Amino acid sequence: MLVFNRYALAFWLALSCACAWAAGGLAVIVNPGSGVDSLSREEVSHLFLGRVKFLPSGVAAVVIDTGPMRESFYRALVDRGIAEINAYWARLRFSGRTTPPQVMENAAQVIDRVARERGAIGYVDSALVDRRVKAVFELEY
Amino acid sequence: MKRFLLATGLLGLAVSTAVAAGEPVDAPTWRIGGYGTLGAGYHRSDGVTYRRDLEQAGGIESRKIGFRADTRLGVQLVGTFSPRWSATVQGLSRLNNEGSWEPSLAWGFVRYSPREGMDIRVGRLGVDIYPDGDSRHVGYANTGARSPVELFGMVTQDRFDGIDVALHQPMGDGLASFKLYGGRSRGDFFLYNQSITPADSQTVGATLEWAGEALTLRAAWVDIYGKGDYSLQTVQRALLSVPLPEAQLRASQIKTAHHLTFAAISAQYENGPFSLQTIFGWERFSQFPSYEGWGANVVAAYRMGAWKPYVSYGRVSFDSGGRSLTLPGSLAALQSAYQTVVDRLNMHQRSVGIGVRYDFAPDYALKLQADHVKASDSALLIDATGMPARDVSLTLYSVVLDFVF
Repeated sequence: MLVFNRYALAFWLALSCACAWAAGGLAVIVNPGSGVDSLSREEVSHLFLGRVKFLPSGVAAVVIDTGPMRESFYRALVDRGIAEINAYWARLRFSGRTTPPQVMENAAQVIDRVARERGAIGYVDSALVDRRVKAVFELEY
Repeated sequence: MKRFLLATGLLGLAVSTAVAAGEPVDAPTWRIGGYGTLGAGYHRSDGVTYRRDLEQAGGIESRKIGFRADTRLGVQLVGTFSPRWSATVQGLSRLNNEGSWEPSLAWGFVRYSPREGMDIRVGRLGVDIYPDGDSRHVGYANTGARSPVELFGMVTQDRFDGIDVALHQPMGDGLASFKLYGGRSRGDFFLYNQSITPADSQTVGATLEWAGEALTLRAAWVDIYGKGDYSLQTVQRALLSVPLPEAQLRASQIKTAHHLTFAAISAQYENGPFSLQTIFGWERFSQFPSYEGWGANVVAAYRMGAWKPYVSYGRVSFDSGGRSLTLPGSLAALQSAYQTVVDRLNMHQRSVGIGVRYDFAPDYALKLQADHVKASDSALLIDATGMPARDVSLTLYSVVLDFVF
């Protein structure tokens, strides 16, 4: 019986880890000197959809997309596919309203940029967040 | 040359003002991009040319594959000088009111954002009546092959040289925006086989919008005041020569100034793969005999991977306010001309469309669309002589390739 319980425990642990890995976490990160401690989903959505251009602390926002995670991020944030997001940005960009986020190739570049620039805001896999940046919102995908 | 000077002047103004304001301008960033549409259409309604707006001097002719209605190319340059200062210049080539493809300045402005929640733009700007009306030429941004013609096609004085001020404020779980704008109108018409460029018009408008996670609500109003409209002077003079009180009265009602007014409410709902856009608009043209009407549009779509099927319905009804006049039989020619003037802008058109958008590659979309259009009167549909078509029923098949770069 004890053996069965151990196997059952190991199975559930493995299953939990697999689910956690499959679900994954995306952290929205800012510069520690940005004056921002946390953001709501609405604030993140307004920033990444170009509706607001400044962080809540008043610092001008430099919004950055992580290329390989773009699809997952917008799906988790606003439940829209990348084709919809691209069409949305075409609308804003060519009506002179605002410019889309800068797209960087990988998470390391995004973290470097956010660590260097006070107003920069981006997103990376939660597991990659280090001391140079501050996580202010988390999304599951 | 004037457009080039305007664009250059705006860029210079942005840089010099940023310097004066102490903004960091040592590393401006420049970004060039653009958009385009290669669109083909076909219908078999003999003698009728399909236009997507009142500006085009041509369109898709009967029993010919036509590229003139939807094809267009825009190129944009954006310079960012600081978080608060930027400048944008956009040129656009499409079939215009002269029947040529000569590029025009679609946008050319300097933007200043003095604080969060406030934007000021000065230069060549676009009016903002219907949702995404200021991006109506960007096919890639739209679900369908073209913005609904029954509403968007009626607004061709959709640019102005002036200023707009936009204020944004969080409200509930969304963002409320208010925009006020005004300036000298730009935009042309092709009506009654004539190219018309309003000489002296002023645009004033306002838009109120609330954008939430899935829902966007909007109310808008714009008035275009035109002076120096002498298009009806010949008829006016002829009426003045008729010694009848009723003819004299009608002649006195013809003015050289007019208001063209639009108001609209709209809602956009986007939730996961489903999207719905509804617009209801009211419009009035005060020039003799005065016209008033409404237009409405619904577009519903459902995203399935790279495919996005959609259906649409649009309708416009625009009528003159009467002003009947009965002249003696000896003046039959004037009677006929008068009636043509009274009925010249009557519009009763509706269309039902079905289509699919296929995003086959990043920044490219292919659309296949069929529209069934019925019109008892329409200035959008013209006959072989360029005059408004009457009692038309046609099915338009469109294949459109949209792209951005």
